[in-house]
Amino acid sequence: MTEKKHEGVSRRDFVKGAATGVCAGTFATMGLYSYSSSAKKRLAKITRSMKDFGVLKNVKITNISETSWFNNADLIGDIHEAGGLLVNQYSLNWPPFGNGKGSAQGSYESGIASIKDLIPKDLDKAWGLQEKLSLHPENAGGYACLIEVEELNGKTHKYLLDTGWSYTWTDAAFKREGIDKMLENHEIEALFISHEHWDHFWGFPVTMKYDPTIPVFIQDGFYPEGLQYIKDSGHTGPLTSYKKAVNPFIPGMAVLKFDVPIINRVFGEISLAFNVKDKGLVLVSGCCHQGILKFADLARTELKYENDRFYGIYGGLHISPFEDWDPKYDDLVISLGKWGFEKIGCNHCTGHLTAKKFVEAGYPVIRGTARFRSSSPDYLGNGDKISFGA
Amino acid sequence: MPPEAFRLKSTAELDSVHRQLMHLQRTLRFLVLHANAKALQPTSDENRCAFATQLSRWLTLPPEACFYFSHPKKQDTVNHDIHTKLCHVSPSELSDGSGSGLPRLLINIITRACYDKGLKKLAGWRGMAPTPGDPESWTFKLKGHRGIFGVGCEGKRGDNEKQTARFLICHFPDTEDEELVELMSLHAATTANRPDYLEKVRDFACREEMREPFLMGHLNFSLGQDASHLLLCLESPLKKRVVALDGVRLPQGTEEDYLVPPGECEEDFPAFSLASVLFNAICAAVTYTLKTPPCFYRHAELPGQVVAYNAQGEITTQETDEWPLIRQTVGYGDLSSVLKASGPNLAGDTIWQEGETLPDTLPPVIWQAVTPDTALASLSTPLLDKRPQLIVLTGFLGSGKTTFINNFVEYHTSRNNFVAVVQNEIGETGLDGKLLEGNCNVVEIDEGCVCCTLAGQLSTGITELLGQFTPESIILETTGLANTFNLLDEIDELKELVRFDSVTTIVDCANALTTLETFDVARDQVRAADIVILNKTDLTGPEQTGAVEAKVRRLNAKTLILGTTHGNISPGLLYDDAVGCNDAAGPDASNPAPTHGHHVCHGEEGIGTLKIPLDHPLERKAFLTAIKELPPDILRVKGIVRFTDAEAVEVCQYVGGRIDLSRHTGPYDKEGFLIVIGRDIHNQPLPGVLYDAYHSTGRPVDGPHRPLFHRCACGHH
Repeated sequence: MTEKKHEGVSRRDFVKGAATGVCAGTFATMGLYSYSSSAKKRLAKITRSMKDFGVLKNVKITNISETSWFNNADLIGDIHEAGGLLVNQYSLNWPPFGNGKGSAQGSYESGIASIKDLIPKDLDKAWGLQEKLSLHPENAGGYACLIEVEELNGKTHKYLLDTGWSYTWTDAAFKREGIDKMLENHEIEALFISHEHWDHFWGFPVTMKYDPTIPVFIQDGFYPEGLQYIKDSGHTGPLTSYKKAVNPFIPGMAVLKFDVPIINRVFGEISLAFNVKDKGLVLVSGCCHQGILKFADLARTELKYENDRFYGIYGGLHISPFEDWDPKYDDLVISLGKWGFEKIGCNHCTGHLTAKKFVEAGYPVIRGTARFRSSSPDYLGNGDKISFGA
Repeated sequence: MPPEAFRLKSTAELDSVHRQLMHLQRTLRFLVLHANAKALQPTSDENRCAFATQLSRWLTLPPEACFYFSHPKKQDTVNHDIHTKLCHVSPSELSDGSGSGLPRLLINIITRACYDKGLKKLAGWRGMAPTPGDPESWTFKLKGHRGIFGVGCEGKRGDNEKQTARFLICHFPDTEDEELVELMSLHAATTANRPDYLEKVRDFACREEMREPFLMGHLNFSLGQDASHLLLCLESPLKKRVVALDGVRLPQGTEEDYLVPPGECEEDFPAFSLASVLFNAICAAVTYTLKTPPCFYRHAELPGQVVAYNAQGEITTQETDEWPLIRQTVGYGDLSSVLKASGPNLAGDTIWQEGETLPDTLPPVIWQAVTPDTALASLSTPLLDKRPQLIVLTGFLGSGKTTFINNFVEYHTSRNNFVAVVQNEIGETGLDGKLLEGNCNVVEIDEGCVCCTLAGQLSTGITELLGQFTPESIILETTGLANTFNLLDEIDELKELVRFDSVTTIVDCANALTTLETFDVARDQVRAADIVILNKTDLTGPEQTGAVEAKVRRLNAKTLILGTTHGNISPGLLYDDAVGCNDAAGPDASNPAPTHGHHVCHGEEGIGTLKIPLDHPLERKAFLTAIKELPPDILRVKGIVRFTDAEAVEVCQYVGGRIDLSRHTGPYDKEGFLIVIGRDIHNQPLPGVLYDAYHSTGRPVDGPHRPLFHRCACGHH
């Protein structure tokens, strides 16, 4: 490039001056960037379809368990030893699919063979067997929550989102919150599996133990092993696999599906959206592998909700699978702040220090009680509850 | 001519070497393609590594540029089943055939491929952000480029044969990268200098003013309805050129006062070379996902356009052969489908297709290492430095090391990275057991202080740790009272096990002035640091923070200084392998700005360390001469030197071609040493006294008498 210094004003200085307003507007009229034909092209304009999916009175969430595992070093260590983040989760040799052959030598078939006759009835024995065959069985916890919804007409519904991992841990957590009885009484109308990961799904027989007829909702990214596990666990009720991105469920409640590749050969996640009367939209996620930005973006684009406002959020607020490109940009903290949630209940994969940062940033984080092995009061911990709406 | 002659040193040189380079690249790519097509005997990992290094040097490109072609495959079992391979990434909409699932497919391919950290590193993916408000646009950061790349879907369609999506590719240069910014239009350059620039980059897809001025080209992505082929096509002008026929005048200037003289280019941007960086990274992810290299490649040059405008704002466009529009097509799948879908070849196109053989005249070196039956993983293995990164963390008692570690661990945990912490004073620093529990592994080293007693214990501890775990990073937390220089002395012994990254020193701003005044150890911790974090700045006013910074700067002119509170600082700002690395090869990397930017990166392939023991005092002049002659691939030198003209030992810090010597205040009764850090370290010529010192080590004649001997030699005796 030729030197562009003229009378002491270099192009560089000029540009900086123009940028800070010193020479503003000097070439704005020249249409300097509208000369090429492609300038006429527009990116697809995003129009908000704002689907009316109804409205409901309130949503109450009980955290059955957010402690998916207790030692991250063991968990990530096992994954790394097996070959990394793309290794099929069923081959990791984690319970309940251990086969005694060690890291990366597991398979669904060899694992289930040892416990097939025991699930879902004798979970203690099944898990006990697996403790001898699998890697780090003591590390397994699980993620599950109870969602109680009240419609405008006063009708109430109970749903489960996810069903934990360790049979013993999940069963104990179910009993602690009375989930076992609710299931036995068929009070819980549906089980949603957010995604196929071990900590959200592998405790599936625990729900089956109490109610094998419960309708189960998954998405079409499930792998054959997962589908087989549902069968092998004795499920006899209806199974629905979502294919579309937006799926209204009951008035004011929709299931959102995200086609996203997740670590250890899992694909797709479903999250829930609730339109709470006079308040706004409430988002509930398992892990939110799609990223909070994507979750909120889809909801905003697709759904119509009260006051056009985001009201609350609950669950694991996962960072997107990639890191941001600007290390100064604390993406989770900043992007969560942008949406202006009025009630935040976070836990699970959010990260303790991230939760702390939310608190420090003045976000309305509903703090927990740090009981039942939940370790930080910044998390909405095991046994804690959060409610949205009247 | 040696291939190095074509190495690009700066964007300003683009003009002169660009076309030559293009030709070379094309030729070499062509060779690689041919090489790939030929079934070859397996060779050693070492050969493969040499191959990739050499190739990337010859191409003056990072390895990823040729990576998608160098992926080995079995000739007899080529798997064209694109459909099966895409099952881990296919969104549901893909099946409707309308093209609406392609943007999601593209991002899923990249996302999933990057779960393989080897691929991520090789392909150079460094960071990604979805664009708020537009689900089909993203911004990316790629290794070796300070700017941000934007990709946004412009349109999708489907017909009987295939579904296609067209994406625009933008490049948003780093504002500080002035040479690049100057090549852009005035409008783009102005935008890049505005304070809200990065914010606008984030949602560039929703802002018209952020697209056209930064547009580098287009990517067409198509998939056969029967999944028989997948095509990626990059269209980008070799140069994006706009001529101001009547010039651009300064607003308040005189008649002759031109910002752009009449007839000169207002914009003259090397669009293709930047767009192809992204294209190559995308192709690498596609190759990885499909587990098979492309079967077709075509490089076509179409007439380009030069846009010109006059003072009246009338715009004319002229076709030019000099600055063509480049169209690169890479095809995967069934060759006949690919050939059909990719359109006719034209005279002058460079074409390769699967099955074509390599001419006999070519030197064997280029393809020797490409083996027919190695998995992708094993190809990447020798290219990647799999040693965990070692960060030495120092800081005076109570400075906030534990909080820093907690932050560091959570940052990595949320990114599925595994951190191990080695502490030598468990319990003593009041490490918050609750918070650290379960997030990392603490290995206790016997006898308390790692840094004082070392004697093999550090490597024992690290060996033990690596026997049980496979961390990506190890933080070695030293006792608050340890002298880091004693530790640095030992780092060299750990080089087989770990990749030494840097010394980070945490300084408690509230107490620093006193501490640094009183304790030799505190001063030495600062002297040894590559990064100094001024912690607890909330407890001090800006005045005191400034004073501490000045004090630190006096002690260590070369360190990167960053302020924070509660140890809360993104590791991405500090360390390599994270997003902020500004980066890769090139002189900039070793020359960080004093108080911002990034310390020297050591994560790139081939960076190693070397220890030069200095068992006798050196002559200052000879030493400085030798330092001046260090080759550019030596990035840093640090250590303790004894000079013939001074009593006290001196601390040596050499970064980015500059040397800094300061008196070592603490007690130091051991021999001096230098740790040399650089690329391809064992093949670097060490100049003068450094060479002598390195090569004299171990010779019996250079035993304990040497210091005396040398004193004699320089006339003091």
